[in-house]
Amino acid sequence: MSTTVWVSLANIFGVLGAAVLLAALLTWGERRLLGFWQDRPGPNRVGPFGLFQVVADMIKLFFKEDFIPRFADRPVFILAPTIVMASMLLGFAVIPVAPMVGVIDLNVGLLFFLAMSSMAVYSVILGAYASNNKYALLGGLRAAAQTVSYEVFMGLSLMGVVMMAGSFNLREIVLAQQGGWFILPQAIGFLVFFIAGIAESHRLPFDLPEAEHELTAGFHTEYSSMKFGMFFVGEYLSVILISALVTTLFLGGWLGPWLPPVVWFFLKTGFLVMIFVLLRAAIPRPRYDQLMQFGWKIMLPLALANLLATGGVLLWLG
Amino acid sequence: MIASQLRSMWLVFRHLFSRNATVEYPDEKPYLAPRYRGRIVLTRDPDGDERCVACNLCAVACPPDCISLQKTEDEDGRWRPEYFRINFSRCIMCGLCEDACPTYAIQLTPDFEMCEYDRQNMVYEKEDLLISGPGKYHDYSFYRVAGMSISGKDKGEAVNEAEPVDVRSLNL
Amino acid sequence: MPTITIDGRQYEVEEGQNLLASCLSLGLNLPYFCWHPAMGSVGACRQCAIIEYKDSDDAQGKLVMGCMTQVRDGGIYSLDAEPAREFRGAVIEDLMTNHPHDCPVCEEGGECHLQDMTEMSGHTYRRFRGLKRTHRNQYLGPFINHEMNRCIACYRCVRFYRDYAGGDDLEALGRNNQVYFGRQCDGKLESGFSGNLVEVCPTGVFTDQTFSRHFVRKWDLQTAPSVCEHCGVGCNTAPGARMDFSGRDENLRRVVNLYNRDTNGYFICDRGRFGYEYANSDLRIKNVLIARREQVIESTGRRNDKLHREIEPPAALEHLATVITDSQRGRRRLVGIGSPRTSLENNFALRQLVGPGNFFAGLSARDLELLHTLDHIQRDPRISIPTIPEIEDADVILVLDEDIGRTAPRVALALRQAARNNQRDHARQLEIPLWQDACVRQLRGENNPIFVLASSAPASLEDIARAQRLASPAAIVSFAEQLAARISATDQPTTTDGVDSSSTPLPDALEHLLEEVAETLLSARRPLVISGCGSQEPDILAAAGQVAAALADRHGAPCATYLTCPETNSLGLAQFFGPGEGGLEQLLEELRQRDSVDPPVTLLLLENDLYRRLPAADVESLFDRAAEVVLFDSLLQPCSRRADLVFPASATPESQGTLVNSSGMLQRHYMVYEGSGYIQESWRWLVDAVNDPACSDVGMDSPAALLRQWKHCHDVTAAIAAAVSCFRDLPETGPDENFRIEGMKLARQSHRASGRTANRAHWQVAEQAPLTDPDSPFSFTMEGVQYAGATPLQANIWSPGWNSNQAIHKFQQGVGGPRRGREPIPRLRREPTAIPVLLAKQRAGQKPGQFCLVPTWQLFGSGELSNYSDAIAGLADGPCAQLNTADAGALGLEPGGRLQLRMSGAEITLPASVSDRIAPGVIGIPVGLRAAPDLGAMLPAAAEIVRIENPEPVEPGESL
Repeated sequence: MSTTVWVSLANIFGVLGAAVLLAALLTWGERRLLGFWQDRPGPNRVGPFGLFQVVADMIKLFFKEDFIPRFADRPVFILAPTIVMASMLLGFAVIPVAPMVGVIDLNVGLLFFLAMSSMAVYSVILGAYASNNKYALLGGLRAAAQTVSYEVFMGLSLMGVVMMAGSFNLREIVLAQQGGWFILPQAIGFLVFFIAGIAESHRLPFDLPEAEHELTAGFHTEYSSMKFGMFFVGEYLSVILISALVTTLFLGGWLGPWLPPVVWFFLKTGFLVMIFVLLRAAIPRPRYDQLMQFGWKIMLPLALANLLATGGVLLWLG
Repeated sequence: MIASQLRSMWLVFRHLFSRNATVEYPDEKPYLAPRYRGRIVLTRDPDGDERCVACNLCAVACPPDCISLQKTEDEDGRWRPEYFRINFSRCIMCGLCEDACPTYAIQLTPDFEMCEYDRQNMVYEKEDLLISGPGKYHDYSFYRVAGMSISGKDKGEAVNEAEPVDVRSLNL
Repeated sequence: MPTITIDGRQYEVEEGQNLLASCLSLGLNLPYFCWHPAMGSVGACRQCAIIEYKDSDDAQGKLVMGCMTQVRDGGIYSLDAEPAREFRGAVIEDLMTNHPHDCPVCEEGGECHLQDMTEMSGHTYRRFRGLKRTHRNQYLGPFINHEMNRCIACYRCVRFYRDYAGGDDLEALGRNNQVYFGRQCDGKLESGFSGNLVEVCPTGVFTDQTFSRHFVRKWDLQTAPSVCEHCGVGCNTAPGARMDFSGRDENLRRVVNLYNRDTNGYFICDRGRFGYEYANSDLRIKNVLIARREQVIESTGRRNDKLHREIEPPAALEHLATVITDSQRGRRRLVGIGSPRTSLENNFALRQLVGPGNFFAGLSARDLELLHTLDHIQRDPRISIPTIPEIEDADVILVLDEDIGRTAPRVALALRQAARNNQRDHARQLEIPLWQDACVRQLRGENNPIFVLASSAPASLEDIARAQRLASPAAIVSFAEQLAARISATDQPTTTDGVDSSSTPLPDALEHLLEEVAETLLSARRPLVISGCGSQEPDILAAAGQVAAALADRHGAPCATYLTCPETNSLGLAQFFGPGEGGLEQLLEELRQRDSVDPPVTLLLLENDLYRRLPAADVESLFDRAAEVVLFDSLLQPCSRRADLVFPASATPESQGTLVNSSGMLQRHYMVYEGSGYIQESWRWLVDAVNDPACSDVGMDSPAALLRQWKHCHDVTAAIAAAVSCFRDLPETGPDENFRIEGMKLARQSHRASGRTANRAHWQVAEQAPLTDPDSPFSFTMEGVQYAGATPLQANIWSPGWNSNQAIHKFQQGVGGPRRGREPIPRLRREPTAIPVLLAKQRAGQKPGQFCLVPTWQLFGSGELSNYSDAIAGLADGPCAQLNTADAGALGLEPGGRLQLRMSGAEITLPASVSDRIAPGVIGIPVGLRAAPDLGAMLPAAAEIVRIENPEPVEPGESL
């Protein structure tokens, strides 16, 4: 076989493997960070710095009873968690990690990402429906409403970037930022996309679909063992995916001086992941109606205004 | 509103650089004051008799209702618990029983490390709780200040009591 | 109604009432000690001080005692004014200077009026540095503990004991700060109401000794409304129970009065209060017992006695079910024997199972005749049955041969209040308010006329009776007969000529009284006739009925007549039988005439000690003729020796059911706690047997099949109401098991109940689900309605800040009024009939030289169940023959002698007891004693003295 195939295979397994690995590691990293922010050590007993906590958790998840309730819709119940894993991993395919590193270089990379992130919501809704449980159902309904609302301006907020770069290809968008990161001209777009991204990944403060205080665990109340694990990893995958995408779209991707491009990419992504965790540590969950108002009455107009302004400026600049 | 959210994020972030408030407990034992509120003991008065008079106030003060006892009366006139039982698997170590105890019988100790594989072993009876000393209050004896007479302490012999009235005297 | 202003708010209050009572009935918190709703005010404790303002311009006001000040229309008062608060605080501080540091070891703690009032007045810290006064205690008998140090000298105890209840052995001794409340020397308090001191004393001077032996605080007692099972009055009680030492069973800890204005008000007698311990007796049956095959050898038991062993209930039920099936197929005859000491539900279930033809009352023919006579009198429209307040209101009272103080003590206590009505009338004329207790008692004027005719002196009526005459029952009957005639015939000149000459000539003592009684009764506005079954002489009852009827005819209004029944459900049981049927003698006769081809008989004996009903030989012969005896009872009573199968039945506080008291009131008692072991209501055993698979052949058309439909107690109650027309108001005695208040059940436990997770923990640390009660809307936990103001069914009398039973005023319609939300007690709905004419039964005439044997009663000793309570059993006298001093002298009987008496067919020898408290020519025999239960079954009777055994003379110098 030719080298390109080997390179492609290395890219596929490297990027996707790294994504899964990082997501798993993030379960530990997040708890450690939360611990520090709450003046306690966090998980530190298993292995050096508690790193093997991940392994311990994985073993635990694998060996727990894989329980499917009698009243569940069995095939859908099993299918649901796989969707989130699959769609998130597919989303990673279009991320340009560095020059020459990345699974695929798609012309419509951005659209592909949007499509994949929309797919992920099926996982939640189907899981909730199949559980046949009132808490799960409520969680599923919230997830559906939340995703539909926040997806609208998620896409819109990116249009500024697309206009400035003149392409949907993520690699080209990164290259278009050589003169300056889009976070400056597209500050509003960045904010809107980042918030929408949090909502898409059901992270605090937008974790209403699982809201453990009111809905026990929302859509995954009935899930256990590795099925729950898949939801769990899916969530962390989506955190990394959103962070990676923000890096790509607004923070110049792999661009940066002195250090190798991959390191730059990971540094930027890691910083954003930390922001995700910090949000969880600091911001309380809003009420459901507040969430909806915030989405439709503030975020959507902001995204539209941003789009209009960007378009206007671009036209004016010729 | 946004400023306040950002501020709280900043405040939380700053804790990355502050000392941990927790200690790694089984490896590193924290200092417990001698009056730390752990599990209860039943103490004895300076004469070596049980201090508990089975008044039931601890039981009624107990939020998880985990104390149960039955009053009985000794031949010497003292009230005493026939049984005194505490279910430590329910106890929340709040110390309200110690507060409620009018005779200093119940006192809390710094011991709270009670681990059992069988919950049944968490049920302590009076025999398990009684210690041989007076605990934190060395000199207090309820019957020396109470008005009830017991053998060895007749009417009028308690602290601050006058001689019993002789009804047949003139009582001027 | 006057309008008064208290602290700026206007209230309408009852006219003529004092301020304290008005404030309390308005729900305001005003501390007090010496005032008692039943005993009025004396102004001794100075605790209820409030400020009275002259008018709205008056800013200063003056301090007055609430209990001594009558409300004034337009009056302006203040409870909260600083001077009043300060004064009350100072008073309580003063009272507390001598109060000992005892609360933890005081039985009153937690329901102590003094604690409540101290809290309310804000006194927290003893500033007084002087010595505390102390007192020595007295031994006051097996009921009451004395701890005199705790006294605050409010005088309530002597005011109740002496003034209200007529006792004379408790008094205020000493003076000023050393005043002492006790007896002149140690000894049992003689009054039958001494137990009320526990509730009357605002602190812990008098406490319940029986309760103290298994003491728990009030907040830990689980309770439900119950009805006293120790006599026919039907006082309402609140028994309290709690988990026992074992953590498996609950036991009964005490009984207190439950306020019900119409039956008992604030007080109950000592038999009711201290008789409860039978429920904890070692003789309780807790498992199903079956007779063993072994014969008893003569030295260990009597002939035909059986030994028993425990068996599992399903096996016993299967056996019972087989017997029932056999009876349906005609291979066996089932005979049910009911009981006057258990509920209508139990009796009816048995009657339904065996069929009315096979159901017997468990009473002798004479006892039934007594009850039927009583029932007939009560049915007469000219007769009204008074409630306790109505008895207290009577102005002339005639007591006919009923020892009311021992057979219906609570009624006697009411009589004592009625005696003072003259005084009250006088006070009204002088416009002295009746609550001014000390003033009213100062008034001159003799007691209301109370006339007592009896064969043996009734308890504690002598000092209030205008005339008390002891005479033989026959003389009393003829006195009443002539009295009735005299009353009916007062148009004619009152001479003895008009009287039916056929009746016995009266002794002089009665002859003189006759006229006075007749005139006084006729002049009465609210006359009251009292009699009852105590004499066991139906003629006495009938004669009393005639007097009442004659009075009613003359007055044109029904005459109040109180007739006592001996047991808690006697009158209810009698309703199942027509006159002349259902007696045990009838059953014995049927069994004696049985052919050998007749099917064998199984006796189902319901909670009844037949040895109290018939002479022992008859009972033995009854058992001998039955192939099998099945007993349902709570105690191992003598009949259990002959039973082949014994089912554990519940005691009254362990069960729900309806009782009919002497007044025909239908009252329900609720289960306070679940009986231990396999104990359940007798009707449930019967229902379980009918539901047993071995009984499946019983056809749906059979009457016994009705039992299958009974799931809840209310089902049985409704079935009785449907089946027996006089019980048609029975469902109104209380709600069914589905009753809820705002969706909640009623809680048996208080909101402070403790030890839930510990009292069982020593044997099972995992908590069990609470018991469920299929019969009532009560829960066995603290979950549910706890506030006594929400429903009169809540028996835990507690209100915030009022932990003692004084809290009852929060739940009354005005002080001393009926409980809020309480419906009038439903009564029997009987067809009116006329009073039976005097039976003029040709009784076995008394030959010269013969004595009339009459039953005499003991407050402690004659009650069947209370005899199984330790405290009461210790007080019962042994069997004896009570003889008049003159008779004893004539017979040459010396102290300590014994009498051998011969009646028709029986001979008994008893130690003699000589006193003036028995009529000449009459010998009183105490009945109902555990030592000699069947003595009462033979009385009244004529007897001759066969032999007198005088004690051997003691040689001088010889020591005994």
